[in-house]
Amino acid sequence: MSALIKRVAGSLVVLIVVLVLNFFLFRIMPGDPLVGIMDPRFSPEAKEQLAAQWGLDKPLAEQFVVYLREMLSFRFGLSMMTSVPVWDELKNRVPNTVALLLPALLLSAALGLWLGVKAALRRGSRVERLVLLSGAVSFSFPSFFVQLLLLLCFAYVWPIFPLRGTTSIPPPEGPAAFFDYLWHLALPLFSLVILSFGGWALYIRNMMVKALGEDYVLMARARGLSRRRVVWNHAFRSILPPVVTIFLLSLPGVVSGAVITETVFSLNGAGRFLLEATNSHDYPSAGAAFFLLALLTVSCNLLADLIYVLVDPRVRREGAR
Amino acid sequence: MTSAMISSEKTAIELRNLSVTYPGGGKNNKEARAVKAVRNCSFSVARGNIVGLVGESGSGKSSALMAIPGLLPPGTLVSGQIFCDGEDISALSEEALNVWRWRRIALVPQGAMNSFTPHLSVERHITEVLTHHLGMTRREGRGYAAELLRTVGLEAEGTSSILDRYPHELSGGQKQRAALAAALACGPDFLLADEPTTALDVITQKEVLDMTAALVRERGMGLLLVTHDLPLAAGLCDILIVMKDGVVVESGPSRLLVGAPSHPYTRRLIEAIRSLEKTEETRETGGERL
Repeated sequence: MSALIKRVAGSLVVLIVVLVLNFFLFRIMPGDPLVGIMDPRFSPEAKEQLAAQWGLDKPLAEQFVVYLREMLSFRFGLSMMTSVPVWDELKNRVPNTVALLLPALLLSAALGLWLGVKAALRRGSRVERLVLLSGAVSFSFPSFFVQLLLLLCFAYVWPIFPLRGTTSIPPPEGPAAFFDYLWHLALPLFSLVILSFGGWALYIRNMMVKALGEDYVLMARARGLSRRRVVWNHAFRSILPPVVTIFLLSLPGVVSGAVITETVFSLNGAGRFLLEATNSHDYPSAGAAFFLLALLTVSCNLLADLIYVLVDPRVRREGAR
Repeated sequence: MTSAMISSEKTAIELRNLSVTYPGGGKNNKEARAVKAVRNCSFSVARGNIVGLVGESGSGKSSALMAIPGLLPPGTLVSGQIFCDGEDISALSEEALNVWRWRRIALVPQGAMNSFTPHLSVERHITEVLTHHLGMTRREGRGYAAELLRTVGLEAEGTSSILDRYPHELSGGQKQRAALAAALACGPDFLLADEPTTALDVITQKEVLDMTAALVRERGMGLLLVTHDLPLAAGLCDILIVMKDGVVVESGPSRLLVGAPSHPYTRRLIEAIRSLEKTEETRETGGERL
């Protein structure tokens, strides 16, 4: 229990550090946040008025207090780009990002797991060669390159999928809207799955090859247990704790990767919002996006620790002591 | 002598002209790189007998033993026949072999340290085979597992606590005893023990082996004990089989074989042990004089 309290306390410290850095780093960055929202022909008086309107004329300490209050209350203030509350902006965009990333992560991990186990069981087979190749592709090609290639092939040369956006213009109504939404997400989702399942498969395959060579797996076979039980209860179960940990730790990375995917496919998601907010020095929006990303990272780390205890009875036992 | 005795009426396991070849690693010149670990080896182990398979490291003892339950690495070439109660089990599929494994032929592994799945408790190791092979419920299995642990002398430690422990929480001796308890779970006819006490200290080694021998005799099982320790095997086994370079060079009743070895290799082995004992004796008497 004390270990858990320590971990939670450590996570809170990390979040506080991120909050502080978020505030100061954006203000240290070169560039003027007002440039993006005002006409260049504005008079200096008008510019001052605009700065006062956004609270940028106040001392830094006072701005920091306002920033902290907005962040910790999850209101995040108004977006300087759109003059809409950041929370409303995120509310519109986060579901699109989740709808893209969650299935992508689950599908790629499930496909990678299945192929990785198959490859480890059938050494030298076609499945193993596919796993090795897809692993190499995952690690060798930049995601934007593969995604642009897919857009070129399946949205331009053979226009099976839409070239851009989350919905058609004008958006259809009724059940057609749902299918239109799926149609727009299909190619980005496919790109994310083919870009990441290879890494999973290679990782699982390597760990399973090692586990299957262990003496305890040989002994499980010697006990006359079914192949399924030997593979899943003995070999796979022994690699499960690191697999779960890697899955959870990869989540924040996948969300950060959404910046590229959403930009390439012009999707109305939180990743693209993060990029646009950073480029235009939209302090409240960028601060909120980075804060939420840090929150996700810290939560995933904490969750990984908790689930590790659940899936590894040895750690549970040590913890109980 | 390349083939050992075969007691036909109560033979439990019989190996006929068994050869085991590990294929070479390289793609070219495979034949040259292949290792023939066992060559035309024939012997048998009857129920109620303790048979010792002795020889130096690399003589093919473990390969011969692991060929019986079909646990050699994939790609290993096995020829010859392995009979269990008259049925040829050498060509059976993995699935068909699972019927024989543990119910009829159980294994006590070399160094029980790594033979337990790390995330499973001792209880799970035993109840898993009981539920799988004998159709017991987990609760029934737990009761029987506790009984088995008492049989192998783990009751002094508090059986229930041993049952709930994970492999890393057991000492080497406890692990070896637990491995024996697990091997006895389905009441096999035949026990294969591959250097079962290598990693243990001398006292625990003797305790574990004496207990194994007693249980084997009590339950009328056959035991094939693979060891490089000839004096230990001679003291424990009814029959000794000596292997060298994958070939059975000599076999016979333990006393006869140790008393009057016929093969030069066996003679050398025994002389080496005797000279070692003499050196030890001289050192001890010298020490006393000093």
